[in-house]
Amino acid sequence: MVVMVGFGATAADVGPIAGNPLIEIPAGAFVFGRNDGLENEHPRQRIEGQGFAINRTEITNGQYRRFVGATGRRPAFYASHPLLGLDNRPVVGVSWADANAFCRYYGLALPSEQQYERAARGTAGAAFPWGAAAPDATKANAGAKICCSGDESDGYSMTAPAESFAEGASEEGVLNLVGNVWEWTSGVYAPYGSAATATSAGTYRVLRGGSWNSDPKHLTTTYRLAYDPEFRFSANGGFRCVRSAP
Amino acid sequence: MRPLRALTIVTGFLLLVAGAGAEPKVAPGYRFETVSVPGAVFGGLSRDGDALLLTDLASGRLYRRGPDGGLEAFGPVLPHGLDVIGDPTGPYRVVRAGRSLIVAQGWTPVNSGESPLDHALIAIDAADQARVVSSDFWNPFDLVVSGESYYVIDSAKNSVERVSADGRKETLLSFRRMEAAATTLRSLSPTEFSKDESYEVDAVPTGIALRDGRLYVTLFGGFPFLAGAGKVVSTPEAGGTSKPQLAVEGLNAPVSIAFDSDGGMLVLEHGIYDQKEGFQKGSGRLLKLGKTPLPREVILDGLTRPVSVLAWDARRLVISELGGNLYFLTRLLAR
Repeated sequence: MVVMVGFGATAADVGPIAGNPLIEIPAGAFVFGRNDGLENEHPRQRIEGQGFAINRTEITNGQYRRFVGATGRRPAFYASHPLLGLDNRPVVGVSWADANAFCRYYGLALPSEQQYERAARGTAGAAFPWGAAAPDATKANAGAKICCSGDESDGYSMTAPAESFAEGASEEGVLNLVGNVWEWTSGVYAPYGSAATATSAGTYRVLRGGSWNSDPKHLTTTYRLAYDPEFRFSANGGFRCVRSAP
Repeated sequence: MRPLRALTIVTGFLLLVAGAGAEPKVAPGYRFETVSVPGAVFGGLSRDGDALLLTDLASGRLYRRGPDGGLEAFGPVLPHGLDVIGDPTGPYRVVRAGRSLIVAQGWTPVNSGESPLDHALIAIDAADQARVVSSDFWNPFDLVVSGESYYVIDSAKNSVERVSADGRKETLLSFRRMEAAATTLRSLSPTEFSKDESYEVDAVPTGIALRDGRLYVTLFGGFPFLAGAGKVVSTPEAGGTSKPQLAVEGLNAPVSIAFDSDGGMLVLEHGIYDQKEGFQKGSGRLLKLGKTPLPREVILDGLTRPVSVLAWDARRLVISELGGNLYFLTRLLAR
């Protein structure tokens, strides 16, 4: 079933996760990486991407609780936290394997780094999902200018509801691709173009997008945060899922 | 020097209340007894005559344990619950000061209205009436009484405050962040922690004790709670401008300190933090350090989330755990 939502003419599929539709991202060329950023973000390249669909919001605690109830998997670390554990907030305190298991359960997958950038930067390699303008309190739930404290000037000392910050939506209507919580990707950390796999040395997985306590350096669409995939105490690390074209 | 960044964990030093661990192991020469109270979340300990005073963060109650071993609640029910970072908050410690008992009361529980008793030093009189001495704290976790002064650990401001009975208050010490080695951190994230740089973690004061005119303070390293990052520092009770002296280093999350009748320093280590699993069950220890800090004697090992140590008298020690356990150690006399 395909429904239209109020973000331009973008198609959204209700998808398998109740309350979190999948937003179609069409196939086509897009800009990936950048030359003016950190070395591990090089090079800027134009690549052909297949179409895919991505969750409109980060996976919420309510959605993750339903998964835990259905599968018996361990709850998120902050499931009982009075703020971080609220049903409508993005789930945090999950390892990469937890996030991957969630997506797999619904027949989906974690986004690749390329899919994340295509969703967050559009086709032209925009700085932010909403364009070139710097983040402000209406567009993203971000941290203080000096790392690494939360900042309440955007209305939230920690995570914000997954449906918030509509003004910061991408062209296709995907929310909070920058800010709120870092998002696990399927990517294994390595220089672009190398043949690293999950079994190669390191095996760090990459998170993208920055979070509620990120400073401007981290709050970009290209920053690659490599982390131990088993780490599950992060209060600012969550995820969303994608369905790739068959 | 860079602060920790990127992924963050939202935990204080108490983190979450632990489940029961295995039975602790006691050093030879001690008799060991356990008292467990299911559902309790024990906080600080102190002595009041022949009674043991303790707090329960689960109920917000103060307890007196008399010679018969029974626990009797007294005083008002104080604010209690989880704080904004998910830790238990409430009455952290109660200590006798003349005709009053002084309570270090933690910060406001989330989902509760602000109470005048929050983040305060509270005096409880003989009629069990509460009076706020000062609420100008963020999270007062421990205190020691000396004459007319109360020395209070603020575990959120990372300071030691001197408070008089009429509420006047001055900051005696503020702790700067501590340098941490990058080695352990780098195993978490190669993009955030470079081997060529050093990093800082919060120096969170936890326990305080007074000995020979000096205040001794345990410093619990902040996230990622690196093993060996904890310290004990001391400063003159009279204050002054000199830096605090390092007394002991290489500790695993020290949370409480006391001195026994021999002048030996007793340091309670909260435990070893596993970056994937949290504080490991059974990794807390009670250490005794002589006047010359080395060697360290492990008096009690295998503790799970211990929070307070009390030197009851020349032979007896008491330890509390968040999991509702009290441990009583009695040094056996040589024959």
